Amino acid sequence: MAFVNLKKKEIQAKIVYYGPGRGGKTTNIEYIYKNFEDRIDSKMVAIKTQGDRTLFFDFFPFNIGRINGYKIKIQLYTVPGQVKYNATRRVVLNGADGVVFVADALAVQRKANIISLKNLQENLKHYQKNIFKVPFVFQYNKMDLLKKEVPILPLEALTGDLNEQLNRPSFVASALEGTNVVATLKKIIIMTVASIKMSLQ
Amino acid sequence: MIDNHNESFSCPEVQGRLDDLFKSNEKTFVDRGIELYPDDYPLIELKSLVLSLDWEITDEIITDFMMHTDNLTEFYRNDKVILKFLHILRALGKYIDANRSKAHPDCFKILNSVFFALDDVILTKDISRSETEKLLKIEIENYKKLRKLVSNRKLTKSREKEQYSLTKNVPKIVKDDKIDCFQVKSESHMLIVSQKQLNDLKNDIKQFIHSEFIGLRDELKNLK
Repeated sequence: MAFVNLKKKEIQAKIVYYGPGRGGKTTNIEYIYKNFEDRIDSKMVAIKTQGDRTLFFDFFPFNIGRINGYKIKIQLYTVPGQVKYNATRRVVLNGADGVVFVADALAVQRKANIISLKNLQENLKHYQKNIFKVPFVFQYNKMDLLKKEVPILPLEALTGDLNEQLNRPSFVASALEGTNVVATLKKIIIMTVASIKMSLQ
Repeated sequence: MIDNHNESFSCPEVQGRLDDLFKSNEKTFVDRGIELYPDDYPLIELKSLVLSLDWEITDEIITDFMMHTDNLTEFYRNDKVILKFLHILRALGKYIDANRSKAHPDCFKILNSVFFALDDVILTKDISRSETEKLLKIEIENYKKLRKLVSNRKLTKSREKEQYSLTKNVPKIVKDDKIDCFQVKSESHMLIVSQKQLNDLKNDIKQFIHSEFIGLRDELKNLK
């Protein structure tokens, strides 16, 4: 649940980037950080292992300014994608107001995407949250590999595997090149803020 | 965006604020052209395998990877620079095959780096010999660094094992006044250790701790 300070007129929203290991969650946040560092007066915190894998989580807070008199603070988190770190994922997911699921479009990652989405559903359930009700956006990442003729899952397959029932907004993206990274973030922020607004009314 | 979003989530004030914050830096696929490789590009399969190896190491992928490097070695048998790139790739493939998930994490970075350098060499039209040799030299250096990291890792592991076996069955040291040395009694054997040997042991332990610190510093540098 978002942290709302009515006295200070401040809302703090937590958005978690979820998805299979090496799918590009950290790359998404790094792209935002590197490209808007001058406009966003904040620092990104990342804890990685030797092989550049996220060990615990990445954390990137920033303000988007005042809206309807409320100062909106956004906190972006990533979870470690590797299967073995489920306890960490669950902790990071606690109190999430919005989720971006970064699916890996590589054909070899098809099963990993499905397992990770299932894991997200279970972990949300642990906090009495329903995956169908949480502000949620899909990002089908690594689509840039298409031009390199690497086997990529067709959009229909990605949608069919992951989004057929959920029917959430989705973006084809390349976190490495920055394609649709901002669009994904904007969408999840809008959905999250709207959801918080609705819950306050 | 694929248009299937829930309209109840519209929030024009936030939209406006975000447009201001992130303006002029958005990229979408609409304004991007997709460049395809030429039909006769010989590395297509290998590229797919290199990227697959980064995600999952299976017998099938490894076998295909080795087979494709062999085929390309035959195909480029008259080009010494390309052959050297392929030899490095093959060596990395063998290392990954032997070590699987225990392979040094940097080996996947180097595998990608070597492959993409080779990709540049083959794809870049009018690339000069000196440029290709320069690229090769960089990758050879990377490969050597990896070998060093791997051997350091092995050394540290074997020392850890030694340390473990030493501590597992620690012999008891008993002072014997009759002889100018220590008697070391363990369950399985009896050793006579002189003062000099003890000093040597101490020095070995000091050196081991020193090398461990060097290893740790390297790890910290890599983390940065």
